[in-house]
Amino acid sequence: MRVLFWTDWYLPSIGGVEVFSGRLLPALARRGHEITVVAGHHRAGLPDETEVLGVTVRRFLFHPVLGANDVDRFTETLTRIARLKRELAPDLVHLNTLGPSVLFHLQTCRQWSAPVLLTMHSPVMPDARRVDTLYARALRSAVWVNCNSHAVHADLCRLVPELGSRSSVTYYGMDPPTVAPPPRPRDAPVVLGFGRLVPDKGFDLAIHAFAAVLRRMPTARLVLAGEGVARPELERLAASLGIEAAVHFTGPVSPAEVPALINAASLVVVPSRWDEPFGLVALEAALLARPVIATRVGGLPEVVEHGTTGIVVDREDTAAMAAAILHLLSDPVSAEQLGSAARRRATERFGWDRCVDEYEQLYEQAAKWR
Amino acid sequence: MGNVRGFFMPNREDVAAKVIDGELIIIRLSDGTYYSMENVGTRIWELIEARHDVATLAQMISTWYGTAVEHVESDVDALVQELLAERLIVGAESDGPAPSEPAPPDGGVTYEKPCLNIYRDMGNLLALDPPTPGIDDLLFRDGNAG
Repeated sequence: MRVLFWTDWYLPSIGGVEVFSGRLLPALARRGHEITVVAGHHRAGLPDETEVLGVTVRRFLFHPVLGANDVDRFTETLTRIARLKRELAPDLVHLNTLGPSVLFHLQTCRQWSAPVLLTMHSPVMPDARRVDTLYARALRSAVWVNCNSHAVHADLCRLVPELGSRSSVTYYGMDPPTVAPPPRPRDAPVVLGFGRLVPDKGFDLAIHAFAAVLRRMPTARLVLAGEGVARPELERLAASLGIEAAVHFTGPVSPAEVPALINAASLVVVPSRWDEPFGLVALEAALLARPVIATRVGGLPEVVEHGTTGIVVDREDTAAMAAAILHLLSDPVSAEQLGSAARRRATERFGWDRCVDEYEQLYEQAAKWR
Repeated sequence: MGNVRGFFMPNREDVAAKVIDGELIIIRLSDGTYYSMENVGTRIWELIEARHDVATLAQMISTWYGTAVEHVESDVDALVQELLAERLIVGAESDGPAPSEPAPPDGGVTYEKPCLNIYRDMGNLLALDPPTPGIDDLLFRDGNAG
């Protein structure tokens, strides 16, 4: 099947969608599907056309063109998209964003008409209800909407009830490690948080909670891995709490570096304050048998089963987060049990082959919608 | 005829518009709101640009698409009022240059009620979720996506 995979950003930009699709698309290509990614340029110097992990990627200056309010540049880009669609003649357009670039897709639907599968990787925005938004129009253009958690699907059905009958849930998946994860470190407890360092991810909450942990457990260390706009503020916060020596910022990390970071950690904290749609980070930790302390937001409680594979605390509740960290650091047997259960459950429920199978079925089902 | 009469023209001080492959894109420059129209809506915009008054352009649309003029007038009225409310067009003098004659649509095109698609959220969407800076080359340093 020929698939046009549409996303705002793609590898080497790093985010949940990029990491997930960077695994999914090569897997689908290996099964014989012809996938072409259409994405925005996220920095100068990237080629307009390239191959990433065996998948063709075509990049366009979507955001700069739209932000410039320049109708000539807009139509020039539109012409290039229309030409690309006609050349590729996709059986299916797979939208992975309801972001601004989607306008270029909508405005070229007449030049090449194909059914649209939309995957919701993010919480459903209230704009879904309005008639005067790109978000709402793009959402309703899909023949099928696939959500990455039941939390996102429930929001979709609440906000856009007419999509209830043509939508479903497909969890993200991930390969379990081929070797057994190493034991949790015993001597120096390490709490790990990783992801984009942006306010939504709540790493400031983790720092506040960790300050309380450190008072009871002075040898503990907090490792925050990743990069983002909030990093300077997080560094200042650690300094203002007097714990900067115990908080280590690794800076940017690639997906390939993540397993080693998890293996070196006693537990993983996912302190998000926004409605985290799925929580890939929690799944990565679970597959490496690390217990996860996560907030009760969005789809996170679907990945972290409270009391069985980790501990779920209320959003922004740093006291509960600190208590959970202390509990697991001071009770290695419980932590070990939670970690083992997390790995078992992650392997059973969030397996990679299941995920690729389900996407392939979604593609086949949506492509028939002509 | 409805409530709207007379001549109008695009609000050139605040509007950039272009038709490509029969689809119209309009940008309201002052706040970056995007709009689009297709088919009959695009033709109506072109007739407004060509300085046809509302009654005449409704008659032309009626003839081109073989649709009852009363029906077209009602739709044109609603669309012109919406374009005015969005400040995409403004009133024009009746003694301006003579109207030009856009080519009629190709045959076989059916009449559809014109619809102004509004993308009022473009500014917000552009501000949301920019790519994470400074990590571009890590993937290739490691040779795979993990």
